[in-house]
Amino acid sequence: MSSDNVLEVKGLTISLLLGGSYFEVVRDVSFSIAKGESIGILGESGCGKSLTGASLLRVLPHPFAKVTKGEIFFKGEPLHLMGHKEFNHKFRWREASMIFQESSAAINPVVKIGKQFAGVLKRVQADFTKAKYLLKECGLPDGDRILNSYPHELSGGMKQRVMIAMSLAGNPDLLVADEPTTATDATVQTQILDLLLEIQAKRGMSIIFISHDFRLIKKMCRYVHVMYCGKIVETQLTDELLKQPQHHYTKGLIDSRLSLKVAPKSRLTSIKGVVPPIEKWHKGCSFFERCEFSSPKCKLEEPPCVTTSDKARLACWFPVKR
Amino acid sequence: MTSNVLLEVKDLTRFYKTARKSLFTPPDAIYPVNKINFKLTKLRNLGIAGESGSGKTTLAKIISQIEKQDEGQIFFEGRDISKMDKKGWWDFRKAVQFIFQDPYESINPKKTVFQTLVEPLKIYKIGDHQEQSQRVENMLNEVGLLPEVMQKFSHQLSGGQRQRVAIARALMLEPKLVIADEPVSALDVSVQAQILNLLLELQVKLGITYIVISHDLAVLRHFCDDLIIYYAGNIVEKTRAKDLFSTKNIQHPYSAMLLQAAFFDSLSISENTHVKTDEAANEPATDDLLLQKFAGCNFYHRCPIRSDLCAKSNPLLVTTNEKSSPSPSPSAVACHHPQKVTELIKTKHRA
Ligand SMILES: Nc1ncnc2c1ncn2[C@@H]1O[C@H](COP(=O)(O)OP(=O)(O)OP(=O)(O)O)[C@@H](O)[C@H]1O
Ligand SMILES: Nc1ncnc2c1ncn2[C@@H]1O[C@H](COP(=O)(O)OP(=O)(O)OP(=O)(O)O)[C@@H](O)[C@H]1O
Ligand code: SF4
Ligand SMILES: [Mg+2]
Ligand SMILES: [Mg+2]
Repeated sequence: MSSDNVLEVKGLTISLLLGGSYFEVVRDVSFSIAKGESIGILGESGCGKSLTGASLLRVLPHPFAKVTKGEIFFKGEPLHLMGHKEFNHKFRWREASMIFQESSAAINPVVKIGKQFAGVLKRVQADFTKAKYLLKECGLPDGDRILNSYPHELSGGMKQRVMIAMSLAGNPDLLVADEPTTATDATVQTQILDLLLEIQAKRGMSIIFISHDFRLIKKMCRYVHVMYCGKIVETQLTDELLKQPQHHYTKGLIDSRLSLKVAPKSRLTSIKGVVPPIEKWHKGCSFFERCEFSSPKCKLEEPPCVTTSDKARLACWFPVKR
Repeated sequence: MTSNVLLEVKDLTRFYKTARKSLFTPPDAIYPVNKINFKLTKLRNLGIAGESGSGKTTLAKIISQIEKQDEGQIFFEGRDISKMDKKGWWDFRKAVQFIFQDPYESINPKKTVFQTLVEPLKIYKIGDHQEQSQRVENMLNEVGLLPEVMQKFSHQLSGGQRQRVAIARALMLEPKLVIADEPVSALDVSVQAQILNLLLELQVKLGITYIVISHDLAVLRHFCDDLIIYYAGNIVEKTRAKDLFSTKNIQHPYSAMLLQAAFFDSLSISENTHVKTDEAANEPATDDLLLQKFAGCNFYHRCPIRSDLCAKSNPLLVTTNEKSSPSPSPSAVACHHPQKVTELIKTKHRA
């Protein structure tokens, strides 16, 4: 194991309670992040990106989802063996924190922002004045009113930025950012991403950046992992992936992108069909029903995730022709 | 002649009182919607983009009357909605549907997806049991969800699945106007493409007009005919989408800034549009601007082309193309120096 890895995830499997029994929803996911590195995770809606992120911080929705297999090493220490008390007191917020996709999932709707922020700051033993400073860094210069507000009195992008500010309070070494800027305008988005990059350069923070936006992944991450039906199907240098996707699912996503070249209101390309329900996932390649290049082998046998070069990986029997 | 104006808002205003700074000062109020006027033409989709926290969601909630305005009027199909009788009001609520920015707001967590979708049909007594179930199933299919989700609760869905349920719910009653606040920002690009295709198809099939609020300018470019750019409670630019995205006709510096940030890799707009950090340090809080007390232009502190005049007087929203193209939604800009914006864009072309 290389020692400069902040995080190493091995064979992570998360199961979901559906109609009385558990089904594997995140399947055998492995990846690592070096100090000061950002990795991107992208993939179809519902493929398990948020659950993967949440599992690292032990905030999976209980009892619906639980980690059933896998090991997680943080700075070489087995995180999966850490007791809950230690995890909550020493790890969460200080060593690692998460920006949630939906702020309402992370912010209590009936408690004023100031009080919630104070709770976080107390945990990381920081002074309350830090709240205003962090909010300002996130493009909210009027800290007083924000802290004095209830969540419903703030706009979507303001709530999102409150969450970002909170997640940075404990100077974490690992940040899981799940769609962090979907509710902010492009200028604020630039400001926030630049802030994250700046902290990264200064302190060597590592970032797991979950996003549907190729442009942002390109800006933030050197490597990107593509997930489909709970599995990593392709890992590649971001630039390489955009130029030469190898998995048919990745190619389908890239072809569905809106660009300035598409004629307005024309019919957009999309991947045909929808993700099959978890209950019906079968043994072979999960993308089988939707893939135009599939053959019987794909249905029967699962393509192994093989390393193609350096950190690049691919799980496909018949990759996109180069 | 029947008018082709679906909706018109006049001097729409909404303010929120803020906490007193001390016992002796009267409470202030912020104005996220400050005397807003515009017309919406039937079947011409209107996009609203703008600063985060500037009041877009508040404006949209007022138009759909989820929240009430403090001042101003709303006319739907020519009728002042405040003067409608019970039947008219009932019809208005059916004809205008809202898709929330946060799907948690539009979906009751205690209801299953099926209950969520069938509810509007029950309220409006549309169809018998069997027909209602059929309609729910069809709609799920249209938005790309499998029948399996019907018995799930919203917390059991992923962000993207939840958003599709919210969209399905808004479409159940075949409305005339759908106001969608960030409808596709939670979706992967393939599902996003499917949903945009679906919304445009339904527009043709059912004659729906859309107002879409989005920070994703590529979505607005694809989907909308007309655009409103919003800043600190005010409209700073009204334009046709194709004019803005051709970059030849950007009229307001904030619009140029947005486009530069969103398409830094594919458009030629000068990087001078970036706020310089030393200047940004003196930038007032958005709130101070929402108070609408600064005498000058709201955008002054971030503006790369400001002049002394801008600090003293707030530019009004003036129509810029009335003569050349008479339309119910003419272009307009609130800036003292719109011609300088053109310079901003040209600079990069030469460089
Ligand atoms: N509490 C829960 N109970 C049951 N199922 C759940 C629960 N939370 C998530 N799921 C299911 O687990 C799957 C993965 O969800 P997850 O939120 O990780 O998706 P995602 O990749 O983040 O998608 P998106 O891009 O839409 O946010 C989805 O199919 C979802 O329906
Ligand atoms: N119920 C409320 N009470 C007090 N202030 C409010 C309330 N609702 C909104 N505001 C304030 O009004 C302003 C505009 O909010 P709004 O949600 O309309 O912004 P927005 O343009 O939709 O922003 P975003 O792009 O971030 O979603 C914000 O400053 C917000 O704090
Ligand atoms: S009026 Fe002046 S400060 Fe305002 S946007 Fe125009 S040039 Fe900039
Ligand atoms: Mg998610
Ligand atoms: Mg909003």
